Amino acid sequence: MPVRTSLAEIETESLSMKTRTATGTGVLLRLRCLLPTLLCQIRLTALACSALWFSLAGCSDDQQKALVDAAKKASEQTSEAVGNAAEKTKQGAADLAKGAGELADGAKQAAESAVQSAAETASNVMEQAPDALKGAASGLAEVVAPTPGEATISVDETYIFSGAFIGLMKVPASPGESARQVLQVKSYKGSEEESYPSFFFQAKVEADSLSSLEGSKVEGDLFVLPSRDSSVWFCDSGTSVTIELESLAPSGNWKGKLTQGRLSSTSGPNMQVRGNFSAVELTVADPGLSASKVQATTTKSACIDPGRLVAQ
Amino acid sequence: MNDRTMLLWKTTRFLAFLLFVSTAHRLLAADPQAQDPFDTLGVHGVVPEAKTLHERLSEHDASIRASITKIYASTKEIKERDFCQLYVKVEQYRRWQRWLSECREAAARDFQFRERVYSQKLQEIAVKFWSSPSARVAQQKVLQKLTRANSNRLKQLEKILKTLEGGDARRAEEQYYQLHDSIFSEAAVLAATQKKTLNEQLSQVRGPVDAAMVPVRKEAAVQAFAKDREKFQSYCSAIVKKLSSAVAEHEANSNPQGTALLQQVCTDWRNAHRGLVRLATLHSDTEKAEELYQRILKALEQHVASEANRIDSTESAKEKYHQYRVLLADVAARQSAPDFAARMQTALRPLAEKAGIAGEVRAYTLATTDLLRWRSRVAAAKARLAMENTSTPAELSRANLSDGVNAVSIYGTTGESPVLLKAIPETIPAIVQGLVGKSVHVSEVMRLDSEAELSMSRIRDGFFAKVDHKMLDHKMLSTDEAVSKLKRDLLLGAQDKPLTIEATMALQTAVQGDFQHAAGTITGVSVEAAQARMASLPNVASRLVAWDEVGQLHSNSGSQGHASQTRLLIRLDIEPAWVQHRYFFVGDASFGDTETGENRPNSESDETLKSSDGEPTSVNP
Repeated sequence: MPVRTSLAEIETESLSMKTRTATGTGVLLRLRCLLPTLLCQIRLTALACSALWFSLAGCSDDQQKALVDAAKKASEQTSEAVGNAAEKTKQGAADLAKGAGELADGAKQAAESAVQSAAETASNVMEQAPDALKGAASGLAEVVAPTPGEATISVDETYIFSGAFIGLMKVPASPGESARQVLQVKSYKGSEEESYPSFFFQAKVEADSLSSLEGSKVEGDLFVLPSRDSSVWFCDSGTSVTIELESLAPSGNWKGKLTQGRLSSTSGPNMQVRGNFSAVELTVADPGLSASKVQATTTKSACIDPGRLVAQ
Repeated sequence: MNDRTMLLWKTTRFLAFLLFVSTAHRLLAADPQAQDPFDTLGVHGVVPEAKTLHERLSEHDASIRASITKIYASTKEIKERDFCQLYVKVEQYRRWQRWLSECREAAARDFQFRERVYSQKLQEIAVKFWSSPSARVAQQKVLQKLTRANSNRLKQLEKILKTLEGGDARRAEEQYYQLHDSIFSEAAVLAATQKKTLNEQLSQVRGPVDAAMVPVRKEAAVQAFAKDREKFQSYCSAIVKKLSSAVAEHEANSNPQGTALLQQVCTDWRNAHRGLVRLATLHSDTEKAEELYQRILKALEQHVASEANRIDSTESAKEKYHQYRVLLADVAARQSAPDFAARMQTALRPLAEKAGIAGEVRAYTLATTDLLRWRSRVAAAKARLAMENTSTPAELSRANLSDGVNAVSIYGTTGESPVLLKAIPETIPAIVQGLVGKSVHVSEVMRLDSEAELSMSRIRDGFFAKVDHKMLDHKMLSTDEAVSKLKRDLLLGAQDKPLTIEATMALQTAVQGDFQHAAGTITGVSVEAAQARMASLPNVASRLVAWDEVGQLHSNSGSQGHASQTRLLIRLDIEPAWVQHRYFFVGDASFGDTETGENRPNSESDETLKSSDGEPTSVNP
């Protein structure tokens, strides 16, 4: 299984802040762009924490614990730093990458030896991490970047996705017909944000909310696209995949498993599929759901019910 | 090369021509729908004279061919009457073909190729005839008669010259050739030396008459084309104006018949579509076609968006929303631009809000769009893989019908589309040999109307294909199951309607049998002149050119000027092995062979449309 993130140390000398956390090269580059503004400082905190969650999947238990502690501490430091950031931002971020990667090798080794237990441990940590975030961005919660969730699906090989999102869509009934509810789990919010590998699950359900599906098994269609131009894994005629929506974790993410099913490939034979996810619930505020002139009052366990969408 | 060798070569060439043609007949005999290799190309008839000339030439073509074959097959001495009739007909054929070419018709080029063969054969027959004893007797009689009629003939010629000097070149031409044909209905028996004086006498008049008529015909063509262009530009502009005024009326809240108006506009637009195709192909007026298309699109968008301002009742708005949704799905199916449906859906938003169903539409969009997108990915990936086993018609045609590969090429040195480089009776057998029985895949196959048993693929690179829907069931390619699955994916119960244009299009096209791609074996071909066909598409067939691709028709041809006049449009009859709808794939994905794969170097091809009666349908907007 490939290790997608590595542990790194970020030194933000210009802000008198030292954050020891996990990040990948992409995060470093993003941090470089974000530093010049106050809002970017806030985002830095969120990104650093979310990057930590990813990296934990590849670390041993001790390392993860230590990292969580470090993250909490760093978050507290960041919170203080944010207060002063507006004045200090102009000083610039001199060398974000300095020291980055120091811990990468160690993390990779740890990841290789802890691959099997990583997913489960990671999800535990994910429940703790948002708390750390909340503390870090206290008073600035409205602008904290949303967590992307995560998912892993094994077919011909194991695919790890950059995010996982879950939503329940409710379409009102026509006269003489029943209402139509659709459960979706996917690796992106809106199609314009899709990256690869990518997956999409959809099932017709009879449920008013995600909560009412907790613990139940749902059969539906699953698609997996390993890369932009590759062949597609899909449920062929007469077949389906079953997922089990396990629980709403304290983090606010819905945990679930792909418990059975087979996928066919557009270029080869069908294979058994397994997987699990910890998905962020989609709300109408998300890009994939947002509509102009439409506002919503949704709660975490609410479905996307057009009856609650109010036209301005 | 001496005369004897030359004669032998010519004879052999014509024998080969006849043999080739008879082979073509055998090849095509298996398919009752196959085109007769002696069919002449149709005309667009922008210049009115073209249709008359084409009719005469087609009749003469069959008649001359029959006469030559009969004389050639007979061991008896050639009859004086038969020879004279043949002689006059070939002469008429030659000049009519010349006149037809002034009308800018591809068919003229075909007649020119044929005339060369017929003239050569006539020469051979004449040599044989002149050597017979009966001919010598006939020659003496004719010479005596010509001498007696000399003064009268001179008077007639003088009269014709006066008519010409009077400025009526057409009348002079008519009078001259009437006299000419009358003389040679007997004088044809004369050997070249015997009619030298006569020819000199006649040429004194024929020369000035022909010379006077060249500019007359050229000017007539220029005027006819200008008139045609103006007529179709005005017609297309009128539709834009109609739509714009409709929008204005709606804004003024004075027109209560919005949907009916849009329906009318959609119908009118189909007519305008034909007009745009004609402008682009016949007049190379791609800019005008593109400009009109954009104006129509913008007007339509404004019209739809303004509808909500006029409606007060929620129920009425809801009804209108669904009427527009269905109409616009049909309009969208005529585009190739992928964003058209989304653009119109946005234009419909005010109406949905007024109808109180904006949230419902939004939820339905969320519940269906992603699934449709993934279904299309699967279908496209399957088709992509399946298409690796086959070629496009253009690739296949390039491989088998290019110069150096086949004795008869349909590709010029610079053109990308098939063009007429040999007579049709030679070209069709070559095309049959190069394409029939081979595997191909084609794009954008659609029913011309919902009742049609046949589907046609969009015209691409000079080719299009005909797919028989009955064949789908026969080949176990029923799409019923896939359509049912699609309906489930679209959350449609028996009473439900799709709520978006995209979903409506998905269902309409699936039920109707419009496919993104199809592959199969070529079972027949049909060839037409591209300009003649495109300029007179039946209304229902205008779908074969996407509205937003009309402007590209001419530039895609790769041919200009005279070459564009000889472009061919080739129709392939296909027995399908698989079809790919945007959201499903049905059939044998392994169909095809790598041998055809070899036939895919680099070319584009065109497809010909033939109307049901075999003649181009006239366009009377």
